[in-house]
Amino acid sequence: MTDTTPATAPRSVPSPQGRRADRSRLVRDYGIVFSIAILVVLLSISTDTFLTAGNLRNLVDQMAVVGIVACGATLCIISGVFDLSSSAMLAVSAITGVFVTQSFGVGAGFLAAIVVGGVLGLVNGLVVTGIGVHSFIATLASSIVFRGVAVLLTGGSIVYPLTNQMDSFRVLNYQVNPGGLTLASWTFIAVLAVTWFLLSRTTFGRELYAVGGNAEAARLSGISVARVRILALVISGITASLAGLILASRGGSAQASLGSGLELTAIAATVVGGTSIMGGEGAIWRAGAGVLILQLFSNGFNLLGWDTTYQQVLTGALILIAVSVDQVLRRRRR
Amino acid sequence: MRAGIAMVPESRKDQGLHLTQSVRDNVTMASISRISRGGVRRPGAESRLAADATARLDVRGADLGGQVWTLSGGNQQKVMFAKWIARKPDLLIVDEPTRGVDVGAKAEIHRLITDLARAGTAVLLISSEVEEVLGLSHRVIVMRQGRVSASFTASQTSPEEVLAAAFADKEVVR
Repeated sequence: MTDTTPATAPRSVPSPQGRRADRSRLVRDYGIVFSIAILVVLLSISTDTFLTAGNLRNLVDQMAVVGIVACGATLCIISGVFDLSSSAMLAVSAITGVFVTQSFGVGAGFLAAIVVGGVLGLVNGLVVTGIGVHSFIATLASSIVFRGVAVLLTGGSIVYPLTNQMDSFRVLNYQVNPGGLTLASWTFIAVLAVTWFLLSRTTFGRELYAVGGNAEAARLSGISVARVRILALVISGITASLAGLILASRGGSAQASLGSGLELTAIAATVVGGTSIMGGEGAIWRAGAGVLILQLFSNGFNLLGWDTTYQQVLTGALILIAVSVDQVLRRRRR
Repeated sequence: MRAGIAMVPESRKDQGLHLTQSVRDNVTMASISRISRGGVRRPGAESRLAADATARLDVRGADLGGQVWTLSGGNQQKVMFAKWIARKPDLLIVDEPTRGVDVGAKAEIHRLITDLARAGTAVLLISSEVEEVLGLSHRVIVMRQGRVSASFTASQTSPEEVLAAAFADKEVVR
Protein backbone atom coordinates (compact mmCIF):
# COMPACT_ATOMS: atom_id res chain seq x y z
CA MET A 1 0.00 0.00 0.00
CA THR A 2 2.70 2.48 0.92
CA ASP A 3 4.43 2.20 -2.47
CA THR A 4 1.37 3.70 -4.13
CA THR A 5 2.03 7.12 -2.62
CA PRO A 6 4.24 8.89 -5.15
CA ALA A 7 3.61 12.27 -3.52
CA THR A 8 6.20 11.74 -0.83
CA ALA A 9 9.87 11.71 -1.72
CA PRO A 10 11.95 8.69 -0.80
CA ARG A 11 14.25 9.14 2.16
CA SER A 12 17.53 9.08 0.29
CA VAL A 13 16.90 11.99 -2.08
CA PRO A 14 17.45 15.34 -0.38
CA SER A 15 14.74 17.91 -0.95
CA PRO A 16 15.62 21.11 -2.83
CA GLN A 17 15.19 23.00 0.42
CA GLY A 18 17.57 20.58 2.08
CA ARG A 19 20.23 21.35 -0.44
CA ARG A 20 19.64 25.06 -0.07
CA ALA A 21 19.99 24.70 3.68
CA ASP A 22 23.32 22.96 3.17
CA ARG A 23 24.50 25.71 0.89
CA SER A 24 23.59 28.51 3.29
CA ARG A 25 25.42 26.63 6.00
CA LEU A 26 28.47 26.47 3.74
CA VAL A 27 28.42 30.24 3.17
CA ARG A 28 28.21 30.83 6.89
CA ASP A 29 30.90 28.33 7.82
CA TYR A 30 33.48 28.86 5.15
CA GLY A 31 32.99 32.56 4.43
CA ILE A 32 34.64 33.39 7.72
CA VAL A 33 37.36 30.74 7.55
CA PHE A 34 38.17 31.79 4.01
CA SER A 35 38.45 35.48 5.00
CA ILE A 36 40.83 34.61 7.82
CA ALA A 37 42.97 32.52 5.49
CA ILE A 38 43.17 35.38 2.97
CA LEU A 39 44.11 37.90 5.64
CA VAL A 40 46.81 35.61 7.01
CA VAL A 41 48.29 35.02 3.56
CA LEU A 42 48.19 38.73 2.65
CA LEU A 43 49.82 39.77 5.90
CA SER A 44 52.46 37.06 5.63
CA ILE A 45 53.40 38.24 2.15
CA SER A 46 53.30 41.97 2.72
CA THR A 47 55.22 42.08 6.01
CA ASP A 48 58.26 40.20 7.32
CA THR A 49 57.09 40.62 10.87
CA PHE A 50 53.64 39.02 10.79
CA LEU A 51 54.71 35.38 10.76
CA THR A 52 57.09 35.61 13.68
CA ALA A 53 56.52 33.73 16.91
CA GLY A 54 56.68 36.99 18.81
CA ASN A 55 53.97 38.67 16.75
CA LEU A 56 51.69 35.63 16.83
CA ARG A 57 52.06 35.36 20.60
CA ASN A 58 51.29 39.04 20.82
CA LEU A 59 48.23 38.53 18.62
CA VAL A 60 46.78 35.90 20.94
CA ASP A 61 47.53 38.04 23.97
CA GLN A 62 45.68 40.97 22.40
CA MET A 63 42.75 38.75 21.53
CA ALA A 64 42.41 37.51 25.10
CA VAL A 65 40.35 40.32 26.66
CA VAL A 66 37.84 40.81 23.84
CA GLY A 67 37.80 37.08 23.17
CA ILE A 68 36.84 36.16 26.71
CA VAL A 69 34.02 38.70 26.73
CA ALA A 70 32.92 37.47 23.29
CA CYS A 71 32.58 33.91 24.64
CA GLY A 72 30.12 35.18 27.25
CA ALA A 73 28.37 37.32 24.66
CA THR A 74 27.99 34.30 22.37
CA LEU A 75 26.16 32.28 25.05
CA CYS A 76 23.88 35.26 25.75
CA ILE A 77 23.11 36.00 22.11
CA ILE A 78 22.39 32.35 21.30
CA SER A 79 19.90 32.27 24.18
CA GLY A 80 18.28 35.45 22.85
CA VAL A 81 19.57 38.08 25.28
CA PHE A 82 22.12 40.85 24.89
CA ASP A 83 24.48 41.86 27.63
CA LEU A 84 25.55 45.47 27.22
CA SER A 85 26.95 45.71 30.73
CA SER A 86 30.07 43.54 30.27
CA SER A 87 32.62 46.32 30.44
CA ALA A 88 30.92 47.94 33.44
CA MET A 89 30.88 44.59 35.26
CA LEU A 90 34.49 44.21 34.22
CA ALA A 91 35.41 47.51 35.89
CA VAL A 92 33.51 46.84 39.13
CA SER A 93 34.95 43.36 39.51
CA ALA A 94 38.50 44.45 38.70
CA ILE A 95 38.27 47.28 41.24
CA THR A 96 36.85 44.92 43.86
CA GLY A 97 39.66 42.55 43.00
CA VAL A 98 42.25 45.24 43.70
CA PHE A 99 40.64 46.23 47.01
CA VAL A 100 40.38 42.66 48.24
CA THR A 101 43.97 42.06 47.14
CA GLN A 102 45.11 44.98 49.33
CA SER A 103 43.59 43.32 52.42
CA PHE A 104 43.70 39.60 51.75
CA GLY A 105 46.25 38.95 49.01
CA VAL A 106 46.19 38.32 45.30
CA GLY A 107 44.48 34.93 45.31
CA ALA A 108 41.56 36.20 47.36
CA GLY A 109 41.41 39.31 45.18
CA PHE A 110 41.11 37.35 41.94
CA LEU A 111 38.50 35.07 43.47
CA ALA A 112 36.50 38.05 44.76
CA ALA A 113 36.55 39.66 41.32
CA ILE A 114 35.09 36.54 39.73
CA VAL A 115 32.41 36.25 42.41
CA VAL A 116 31.46 39.90 41.93
CA GLY A 117 31.20 39.34 38.16
CA GLY A 118 28.88 36.39 38.72
CA VAL A 119 26.72 38.33 41.18
CA LEU A 120 26.38 41.33 38.84
CA GLY A 121 25.43 38.92 36.04
CA LEU A 122 22.82 37.42 38.36
CA VAL A 123 21.38 40.91 38.99
CA ASN A 124 21.12 41.38 35.21
CA GLY A 125 19.48 38.02 34.83
CA LEU A 126 16.89 38.65 37.52
CA VAL A 127 15.99 42.05 36.08
CA VAL A 128 15.72 40.74 32.53
CA THR A 129 13.71 37.61 33.30
CA GLY A 130 11.93 38.64 36.49
CA ILE A 131 10.61 42.03 35.48
CA GLY A 132 10.65 41.19 31.80
CA VAL A 133 12.50 44.29 30.64
CA HIS A 134 14.10 43.77 27.25
CA SER A 135 17.68 42.68 27.84
CA PHE A 136 19.01 45.43 25.60
CA ILE A 137 17.51 48.19 27.74
CA ALA A 138 17.92 46.39 31.06
CA THR A 139 21.64 45.78 30.63
CA LEU A 140 22.18 49.22 29.15
CA ALA A 141 20.67 50.68 32.32
CA SER A 142 22.56 48.30 34.59
CA SER A 143 25.81 49.15 32.82
CA ILE A 144 25.30 52.79 33.76
CA VAL A 145 24.55 51.80 37.34
CA PHE A 146 27.56 49.48 37.54
CA ARG A 147 29.83 52.13 36.04
CA GLY A 148 28.50 54.55 38.67
CA VAL A 149 29.27 52.02 41.40
CA ALA A 150 32.80 51.75 40.01
CA VAL A 151 33.25 55.51 40.31
CA LEU A 152 31.84 55.46 43.85
CA LEU A 153 34.19 52.65 44.88
CA THR A 154 37.31 54.34 43.58
CA GLY A 155 36.29 57.94 44.23
CA GLY A 156 37.28 58.56 40.63
CA SER A 157 40.94 57.72 41.08
CA ILE A 158 43.12 54.84 39.97
CA VAL A 159 43.51 52.05 42.53
CA TYR A 160 46.62 49.89 42.91
CA PRO A 161 47.49 46.78 44.87
CA LEU A 162 50.17 47.26 47.56
CA THR A 163 53.70 47.68 46.23
CA ASN A 164 54.92 44.34 47.55
CA GLN A 165 51.96 42.61 45.89
CA MET A 166 52.55 44.11 42.47
CA ASP A 167 54.68 41.28 41.10
CA SER A 168 52.17 38.59 41.91
CA PHE A 169 49.22 40.77 40.90
CA ARG A 170 50.69 41.09 37.44
CA VAL A 171 50.96 37.33 37.12
CA LEU A 172 48.63 37.16 34.11
CA ASN A 173 51.27 38.86 31.96
CA TYR A 174 53.84 36.18 32.59
CA GLN A 175 54.76 34.00 29.71
CA VAL A 176 54.55 30.37 30.58
CA ASN A 177 55.57 27.24 28.76
CA PRO A 178 54.44 25.50 26.66
CA GLY A 179 54.28 27.94 23.81
CA GLY A 180 55.52 31.00 25.65
CA LEU A 181 51.99 32.38 25.71
CA THR A 182 51.01 34.67 28.54
CA LEU A 183 48.76 33.42 31.32
CA ALA A 184 46.16 35.80 29.92
CA SER A 185 46.29 33.92 26.63
CA TRP A 186 45.93 30.61 28.43
CA THR A 187 42.99 31.99 30.37
CA PHE A 188 41.39 32.88 27.02
CA ILE A 189 42.03 29.39 25.69
CA ALA A 190 40.56 27.87 28.86
CA VAL A 191 37.45 30.06 28.56
CA LEU A 192 37.07 28.99 24.93
CA ALA A 193 37.33 25.35 25.96
CA VAL A 194 34.88 25.61 28.85
CA THR A 195 32.25 27.60 26.98
CA TRP A 196 32.62 25.33 23.94
CA PHE A 197 32.01 22.32 26.16
CA LEU A 198 29.00 23.96 27.81
CA LEU A 199 27.47 24.92 24.50
CA SER A 200 28.01 21.82 22.44
CA ARG A 201 28.23 18.99 24.92
CA THR A 202 25.81 19.71 27.75
CA THR A 203 22.05 19.85 28.12
CA PHE A 204 22.45 23.47 29.18
CA GLY A 205 23.91 24.17 25.74
CA ARG A 206 20.93 22.51 24.09
CA GLU A 207 18.65 24.63 26.22
CA LEU A 208 20.48 27.82 25.20
CA TYR A 209 19.83 27.07 21.53
CA ALA A 210 16.24 26.01 22.27
CA VAL A 211 15.40 29.16 24.22
CA GLY A 212 17.01 31.47 21.68
CA GLY A 213 15.54 29.72 18.66
CA ASN A 214 11.94 29.69 19.83
CA ALA A 215 11.30 30.63 23.45
CA GLU A 216 7.64 29.61 23.36
CA ALA A 217 8.34 26.17 21.92
CA ALA A 218 11.15 25.71 24.45
CA ARG A 219 8.81 26.66 27.29
CA LEU A 220 6.18 24.21 26.07
CA SER A 221 8.91 21.55 25.95
CA GLY A 222 9.43 22.00 29.66
CA ILE A 223 12.54 24.18 29.55
CA SER A 224 12.70 27.07 32.01
CA VAL A 225 13.44 30.03 29.76
CA ALA A 226 14.21 32.28 32.73
CA ARG A 227 16.67 29.86 34.34
CA VAL A 228 18.58 29.39 31.09
CA ARG A 229 18.85 33.11 30.39
CA ILE A 230 19.82 33.96 33.97
CA LEU A 231 22.62 31.41 33.76
CA ALA A 232 23.77 32.85 30.43
CA LEU A 233 23.96 36.33 31.94
CA VAL A 234 25.80 35.02 35.04
CA ILE A 235 28.38 33.37 32.78
CA SER A 236 28.66 36.66 30.88
CA GLY A 237 29.38 38.37 34.21
CA ILE A 238 32.07 35.82 35.04
CA THR A 239 33.76 36.18 31.66
CA ALA A 240 33.64 39.96 32.07
CA SER A 241 35.39 39.65 35.44
CA LEU A 242 38.12 37.44 33.94
CA ALA A 243 38.69 40.02 31.20
CA GLY A 244 38.79 42.69 33.92
CA LEU A 245 41.44 40.78 35.86
CA ILE A 246 43.59 40.54 32.74
CA LEU A 247 43.31 44.29 32.09
CA ALA A 248 44.01 45.13 35.74
CA SER A 249 46.87 42.67 35.90
CA ARG A 250 48.32 44.08 32.69
CA GLY A 251 48.18 47.66 33.93
CA GLY A 252 48.91 46.84 37.57
CA SER A 253 45.89 48.95 38.50
CA ALA A 254 42.18 49.41 38.05
CA GLN A 255 39.96 52.40 37.46
CA ALA A 256 36.30 53.16 36.87
CA SER A 257 36.66 53.63 33.12
CA LEU A 258 38.44 50.28 32.63
CA GLY A 259 37.48 48.48 29.41
CA SER A 260 34.94 51.07 28.34
CA GLY A 261 32.96 50.02 25.25
CA LEU A 262 34.46 46.56 25.19
CA GLU A 263 31.11 44.75 25.05
CA LEU A 264 30.35 46.35 21.70
CA THR A 265 33.61 45.07 20.21
CA ALA A 266 32.84 41.66 21.67
CA ILE A 267 29.32 41.59 20.24
CA ALA A 268 30.68 42.81 16.90
CA ALA A 269 33.24 39.99 16.90
CA THR A 270 30.54 37.47 17.76
CA VAL A 271 28.38 38.65 14.89
CA VAL A 272 31.29 38.84 12.42
CA GLY A 273 32.04 35.23 13.33
CA GLY A 274 28.56 34.26 12.15
CA THR A 275 26.54 33.84 15.33
CA SER A 276 23.04 35.05 14.53
CA ILE A 277 21.87 38.13 16.42
CA MET A 278 18.36 36.68 16.25
CA GLY A 279 19.40 33.91 18.63
CA GLY A 280 19.26 30.14 18.43
CA GLU A 281 22.25 29.80 16.11
CA GLY A 282 25.95 30.19 16.64
CA ALA A 283 29.04 28.59 18.08
CA ILE A 284 32.03 29.35 20.27
CA TRP A 285 34.54 28.86 17.48
CA ARG A 286 32.71 31.68 15.70
CA ALA A 287 33.46 34.02 18.58
CA GLY A 288 37.12 33.04 18.33
CA ALA A 289 37.12 33.50 14.56
CA GLY A 290 35.39 36.88 14.79
CA VAL A 291 37.86 38.18 17.34
CA LEU A 292 40.72 36.83 15.25
CA ILE A 293 39.51 38.74 12.17
CA LEU A 294 39.15 42.02 14.04
CA GLN A 295 42.56 41.50 15.64
CA LEU A 296 44.18 40.64 12.31
CA PHE A 297 42.88 43.95 11.00
CA SER A 298 44.39 45.94 13.81
CA ASN A 299 47.59 43.91 13.77
CA GLY A 300 47.86 44.35 10.01
CA PHE A 301 47.29 48.08 10.16
CA ASN A 302 49.96 48.35 12.83
CA LEU A 303 52.53 46.28 10.99
CA LEU A 304 51.90 48.04 7.69
CA GLY A 305 51.92 51.43 9.36
CA TRP A 306 48.56 52.43 7.92
CA ASP A 307 46.31 55.10 9.35
CA THR A 308 44.09 53.40 11.96
CA THR A 309 41.15 55.63 11.01
CA TYR A 310 40.61 53.38 8.00
CA GLN A 311 40.66 50.42 10.33
CA GLN A 312 37.50 51.70 12.00
CA VAL A 313 35.77 52.16 8.67
CA LEU A 314 36.78 48.67 7.60
CA THR A 315 35.66 47.10 10.88
CA GLY A 316 32.30 48.83 10.65
CA ALA A 317 31.84 47.65 7.07
CA LEU A 318 32.73 44.12 8.09
CA ILE A 319 30.06 44.09 10.80
CA LEU A 320 27.51 45.34 8.30
CA ILE A 321 28.47 42.61 5.85
CA ALA A 322 28.20 39.93 8.51
CA VAL A 323 24.75 41.05 9.63
CA SER A 324 23.56 41.34 6.03
CA VAL A 325 24.68 37.82 5.22
CA ASP A 326 22.83 36.59 8.29
CA GLN A 327 19.71 38.44 7.18
CA VAL A 328 19.83 37.14 3.63
CA LEU A 329 20.37 33.57 4.75
CA ARG A 330 17.40 33.89 7.09
CA ARG A 331 15.09 35.40 4.50
CA ARG A 332 15.70 32.55 2.05
CA ARG A 333 14.21 30.22 4.57
CA ARG A 334 10.78 31.76 4.50
CA MET B 1 4.58 17.47 31.69
CA ARG B 2 6.00 15.72 34.71
CA ALA B 3 2.54 14.35 35.42
CA GLY B 4 2.69 12.46 32.15
CA ILE B 5 0.65 14.96 30.22
CA ALA B 6 1.90 16.12 26.85
CA MET B 7 0.39 18.57 24.44
CA VAL B 8 0.93 18.84 20.71
CA PRO B 9 0.17 22.52 20.21
CA GLU B 10 -1.89 24.10 17.50
CA SER B 11 0.75 26.29 15.89
CA ARG B 12 3.83 24.31 15.01
CA LYS B 13 5.80 27.35 13.89
CA ASP B 14 5.19 29.45 16.98
CA GLN B 15 4.75 26.90 19.71
CA GLY B 16 5.93 23.55 18.53
CA LEU B 17 9.14 23.47 16.58
CA HIS B 18 12.55 25.01 16.27
CA LEU B 19 12.55 25.40 12.51
CA THR B 20 16.24 26.16 12.09
CA GLN B 21 17.37 23.24 14.21
CA SER B 22 17.77 19.62 13.27
CA VAL B 23 15.10 16.95 13.36
CA ARG B 24 17.12 15.19 16.05
CA ASP B 25 17.27 18.25 18.27
CA ASN B 26 13.57 18.91 17.86
CA VAL B 27 12.50 15.38 18.67
CA THR B 28 14.64 15.17 21.80
CA MET B 29 13.79 18.70 22.96
CA ALA B 30 11.11 17.61 25.43
CA SER B 31 13.17 14.68 26.71
CA ILE B 32 16.48 16.41 27.41
CA SER B 33 16.79 14.96 30.91
CA ARG B 34 16.60 11.44 29.54
CA ILE B 35 19.38 11.78 27.00
CA SER B 36 22.00 13.11 29.37
CA ARG B 37 24.03 12.05 32.33
CA GLY B 38 24.96 14.66 34.92
CA GLY B 39 24.08 17.44 32.50
CA VAL B 40 26.37 16.11 29.79
CA ARG B 41 24.66 15.00 26.61
CA ARG B 42 24.95 11.46 25.33
CA PRO B 43 24.88 11.77 21.54
CA GLY B 44 24.27 8.05 21.11
CA ALA B 45 21.18 8.02 23.28
CA GLU B 46 20.02 11.21 21.60
CA SER B 47 20.20 9.74 18.11
CA ARG B 48 18.59 6.49 19.22
CA LEU B 49 15.64 8.28 20.80
CA ALA B 50 15.17 10.47 17.73
CA ALA B 51 15.56 7.57 15.32
CA ASP B 52 13.01 5.45 17.20
CA ALA B 53 10.44 8.20 17.35
CA THR B 54 10.82 9.33 13.74
CA ALA B 55 10.77 5.75 12.46
CA ARG B 56 7.56 5.12 14.34
CA LEU B 57 5.98 8.11 12.67
CA ASP B 58 7.54 7.55 9.28
CA VAL B 59 8.94 11.07 8.97
CA ARG B 60 10.24 11.49 5.44
CA GLY B 61 12.39 13.83 3.44
CA ALA B 62 15.33 14.40 5.75
CA ASP B 63 17.87 12.67 7.87
CA LEU B 64 18.05 13.32 11.60
CA GLY B 65 20.61 16.09 11.11
CA GLY B 66 18.50 17.96 8.55
CA GLN B 67 16.86 21.21 9.52
CA VAL B 68 13.15 21.01 10.22
CA TRP B 69 12.12 23.96 8.03
CA THR B 70 13.15 22.02 4.94
CA LEU B 71 10.42 19.41 5.58
CA SER B 72 6.87 19.52 4.28
CA GLY B 73 4.06 20.60 6.59
CA GLY B 74 2.93 17.06 7.18
CA ASN B 75 6.39 15.87 8.06
CA GLN B 76 6.92 18.86 10.34
CA GLN B 77 3.72 17.90 12.09
CA LYS B 78 5.01 14.36 12.49
CA VAL B 79 8.27 15.65 13.98
CA MET B 80 6.18 17.50 16.52
CA PHE B 81 4.29 14.32 17.37
CA ALA B 82 7.55 12.42 17.60
CA LYS B 83 8.83 14.94 20.11
CA TRP B 84 5.95 14.28 22.47
CA ILE B 85 5.62 10.58 21.90
CA ALA B 86 9.30 10.21 22.77
CA ARG B 87 8.23 11.11 26.31
CA LYS B 88 5.65 8.32 26.41
CA PRO B 89 2.86 10.41 27.96
CA ASP B 90 -0.21 9.03 29.75
CA LEU B 91 -2.39 11.81 28.42
CA LEU B 92 -1.74 13.44 25.08
CA ILE B 93 -3.57 16.63 24.25
CA VAL B 94 -3.67 17.23 20.51
CA ASP B 95 -4.68 20.65 19.26
CA GLU B 96 -5.74 20.85 15.59
CA PRO B 97 -3.33 18.07 14.56
CA THR B 98 -3.99 18.12 10.83
CA ARG B 99 -4.02 21.79 10.04
CA GLY B 100 -1.96 22.59 6.95
CA VAL B 101 -1.15 18.95 6.28
CA ASP B 102 -1.59 17.00 3.03
CA VAL B 103 -4.08 14.16 2.73
CA GLY B 104 -1.57 11.35 3.04
CA ALA B 105 0.03 12.72 6.18
CA LYS B 106 -3.40 13.47 7.58
CA ALA B 107 -4.39 9.82 7.32
CA GLU B 108 -1.13 8.81 8.95
CA ILE B 109 -1.63 11.20 11.82
CA HIS B 110 -5.16 9.87 12.29
CA ARG B 111 -3.83 6.34 12.30
CA LEU B 112 -1.19 7.33 14.82
CA ILE B 113 -3.74 8.85 17.17
CA THR B 114 -5.88 5.72 16.96
CA ASP B 115 -2.85 3.51 17.62
CA LEU B 116 -1.87 5.56 20.64
CA ALA B 117 -5.36 5.37 22.07
CA ARG B 118 -5.47 1.64 21.46
CA ALA B 119 -2.15 1.27 23.30
CA GLY B 120 -3.70 2.85 26.37
CA THR B 121 -2.76 6.52 26.04
CA ALA B 122 -5.63 8.85 26.77
CA VAL B 123 -5.95 11.29 23.90
CA LEU B 124 -7.75 14.59 24.12
CA LEU B 125 -8.31 15.82 20.60
CA ILE B 126 -9.18 19.42 19.92
CA SER B 127 -10.34 20.03 16.39
CA SER B 128 -12.72 22.09 14.31
CA GLU B 129 -13.14 19.42 11.68
CA VAL B 130 -16.29 17.46 12.38
CA GLU B 131 -15.31 14.36 10.40
CA GLU B 132 -11.99 14.19 12.18
CA VAL B 133 -13.62 14.49 15.57
CA LEU B 134 -16.29 11.90 14.93
CA GLY B 135 -13.94 9.51 13.20
CA LEU B 136 -11.38 9.42 15.96
CA SER B 137 -13.19 9.92 19.24
CA HIS B 138 -15.17 7.91 21.69
CA ARG B 139 -16.80 10.90 23.29
CA VAL B 140 -17.36 14.28 21.74
CA ILE B 141 -17.83 17.45 23.73
CA VAL B 142 -18.89 20.51 21.81
CA MET B 143 -17.74 23.87 23.07
CA ARG B 144 -19.16 27.11 21.98
CA GLN B 145 -17.96 30.53 23.01
CA GLY B 146 -16.01 29.03 25.89
CA ARG B 147 -18.81 26.89 27.25
CA VAL B 148 -19.71 23.24 26.89
CA SER B 149 -22.88 23.22 24.84
CA ALA B 150 -23.34 19.50 24.23
CA SER B 151 -21.85 16.09 24.83
CA PHE B 152 -22.25 13.04 22.59
CA THR B 153 -21.05 9.51 22.23
CA ALA B 154 -19.32 9.51 18.88
CA SER B 155 -20.88 6.32 17.56
CA GLN B 156 -24.38 7.53 18.28
CA THR B 157 -24.33 10.96 16.77
CA SER B 158 -24.10 12.57 13.35
CA PRO B 159 -22.11 15.46 11.93
CA GLU B 160 -25.32 17.46 11.64
CA GLU B 161 -26.11 17.04 15.31
CA VAL B 162 -22.62 18.13 16.35
CA LEU B 163 -22.62 21.11 14.00
CA ALA B 164 -26.00 22.17 15.27
CA ALA B 165 -24.72 22.11 18.82
CA ALA B 166 -21.73 24.15 17.74
CA PHE B 167 -23.34 26.78 15.55
CA ALA B 168 -27.14 26.81 15.61
CA ASP B 169 -28.34 29.80 17.51
CA LYS B 170 -30.82 28.47 20.01
CA GLU B 171 -31.81 31.86 21.31
CA VAL B 172 -33.12 32.83 17.89
CA VAL B 173 -34.86 29.50 17.35
CA ARG B 174 -36.70 29.81 20.59
